[in-house]
Amino acid sequence: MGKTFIIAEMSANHNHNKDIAIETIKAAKKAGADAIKIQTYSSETETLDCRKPDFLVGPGLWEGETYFSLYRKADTPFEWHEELYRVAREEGLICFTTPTNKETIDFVETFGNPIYKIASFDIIDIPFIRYAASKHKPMIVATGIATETEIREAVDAMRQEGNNDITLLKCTSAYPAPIDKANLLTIPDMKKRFGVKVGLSDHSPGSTVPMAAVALGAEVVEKHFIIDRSIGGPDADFSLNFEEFKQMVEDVRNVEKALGTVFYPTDSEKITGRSYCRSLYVAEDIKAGEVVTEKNVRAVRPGYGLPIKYLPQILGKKVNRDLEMGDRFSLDFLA
Amino acid sequence: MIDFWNSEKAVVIAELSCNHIQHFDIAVKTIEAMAESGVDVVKVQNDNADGGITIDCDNKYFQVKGGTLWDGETLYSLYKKTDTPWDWLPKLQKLAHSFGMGFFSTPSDPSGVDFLEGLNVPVYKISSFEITDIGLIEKVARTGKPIIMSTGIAEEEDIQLAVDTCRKVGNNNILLMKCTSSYPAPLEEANLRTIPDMKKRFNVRVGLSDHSMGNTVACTAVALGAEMVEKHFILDRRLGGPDAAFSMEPEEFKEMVERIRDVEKSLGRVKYELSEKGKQNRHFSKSLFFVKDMKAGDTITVDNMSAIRPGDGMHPKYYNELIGKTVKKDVEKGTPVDWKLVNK
Repeated sequence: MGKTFIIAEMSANHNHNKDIAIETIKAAKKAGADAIKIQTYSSETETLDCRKPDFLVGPGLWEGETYFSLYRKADTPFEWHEELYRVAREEGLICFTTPTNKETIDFVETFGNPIYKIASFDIIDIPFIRYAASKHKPMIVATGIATETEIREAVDAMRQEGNNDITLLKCTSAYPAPIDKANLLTIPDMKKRFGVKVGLSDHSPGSTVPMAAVALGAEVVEKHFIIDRSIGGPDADFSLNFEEFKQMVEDVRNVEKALGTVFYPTDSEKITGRSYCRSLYVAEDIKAGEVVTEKNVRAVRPGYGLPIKYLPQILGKKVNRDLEMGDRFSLDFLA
Repeated sequence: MIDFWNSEKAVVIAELSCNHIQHFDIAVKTIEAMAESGVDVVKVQNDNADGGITIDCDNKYFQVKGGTLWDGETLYSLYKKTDTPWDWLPKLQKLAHSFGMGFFSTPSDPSGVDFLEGLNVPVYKISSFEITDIGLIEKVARTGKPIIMSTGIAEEEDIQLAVDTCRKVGNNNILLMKCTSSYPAPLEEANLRTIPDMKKRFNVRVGLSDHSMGNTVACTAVALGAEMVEKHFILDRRLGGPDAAFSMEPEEFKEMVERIRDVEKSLGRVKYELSEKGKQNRHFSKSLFFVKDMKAGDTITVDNMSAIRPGDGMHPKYYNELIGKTVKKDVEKGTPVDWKLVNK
């Protein structure tokens, strides 16, 4: 297995300041991310500027906003896009986006967006998913609000477009997400059930949830990244700052190291510590012709002597030479 | 007191080893600190340098070498230092129990087993170095108590022989611990993927005996299904002693236990249906809305209907079906699409 693909989600963490956006890309690279992800939409593409009850955001971090006002605060202006992709390229970071409709896909296609991420909230928009899949780029799809049937419909739609490079992300759509709602055991199940690659989109604090997810087979980890939470913005509360993100990357890389491979040592000579085993040694001087007893040959450390399993077959036998305490016992010593 | 063989949570075992540096009061303080650090079970070792573990000999076979922490000692001098006096064990057991913690030990020869039977310990541990000592394993298995075996230096064949030895005498309560017998153990040697493999291959319970620094290895092992995690515990590394360099201090141990508990929480269960929180966030999905004011009889087009947020309207999969149909009555911009408003 390769290394986990770690995505820093910029989301609205540029706080509508292009310099911060560029700084965020550079910081993500320094923190060890493999990719920076942005979001491509405007409030006009997403919803109506309308104050009917349907268009008011419910309880939670963003209560009191209308959908229109919230998306206006959170969008990444279209005219920044080309420059952000270029800065990322110069930094050696993959930049890709979450589009939200056909028009935004067409827009980012013009500068070669390499991967499409589908947000949790959009997994049920099948015509849209189909269109994104038709571009034949890798698809990363969050499943936070989806039922099993809806995930199945989305996966089928992508496959029908001839796109089989599909990664489903387990994701708890709560901001921030409590650890006990993560249900990470779903990750290996999802891999088997849908026959796809799997990953994690995480909104919990710290790195424990990504670490456990990677242990369970996640190949992609996405987490919100902010240079400094004090700049504020709608996603600041559940974003990792530079130090935390860097720590998370380090923790994930350590988990990868610790996972290693299925390994049973095969060359007993080389196994570290084998010398601390017991084996059969001469424990008291023995003269040629005397018999082996439980007293004069014993299973003691170190492990270089005759393996212990031979003890029953040497007890009571005569030895053919003088032996000193501390000699490794050998079957050649038997008369 | 904890029934740790039947615990639903991962059992955290703190190994006292020789971290008492031969002082009974330090052993007592260490066990008190274990209780405060969230430890489930205290483990000690009953080695016995004079009772058969090695012989007092300094020829080349009995010198410790190979770049270990303990180079320069003979095996006898090392085991002399690491002994836990056996007359401490009943007192330490009582102390551990008084905090609700379990207590067991690693015997290294038959006399150790007899002694521990007298203390009525609930399980036995066979150390990595003893996995080839089939006589000892058989004696332990015959007690009928569960057996935890470390596999650090064992080849697959050694493990199979040890497991078979237990089963042959009718004892199938076996837990194998993945263990890297380097002190301290580098992450690269952990090969934790062996844990789920071991469970399947030998059809036993599995755990981890860890000598790495930090808690990454322990947390990863729990995610992979380890049911017990054992780690060396020391009051303060400055006490020194042969195991200090790879033992964890109380604060580190506590942090590890907390993190293991977080991992357990995060594992949860296989779950696709939405939680209440998830349902609330469903408002952020797209659904079908009329996005312009319309008069009764007007045709639904891509201009006056759209898949937008929030998610309380009709499912976007009906989009194509609706285009070209007409509305029954006047509708205002921002009205969710509903079949009641549409002429079929």
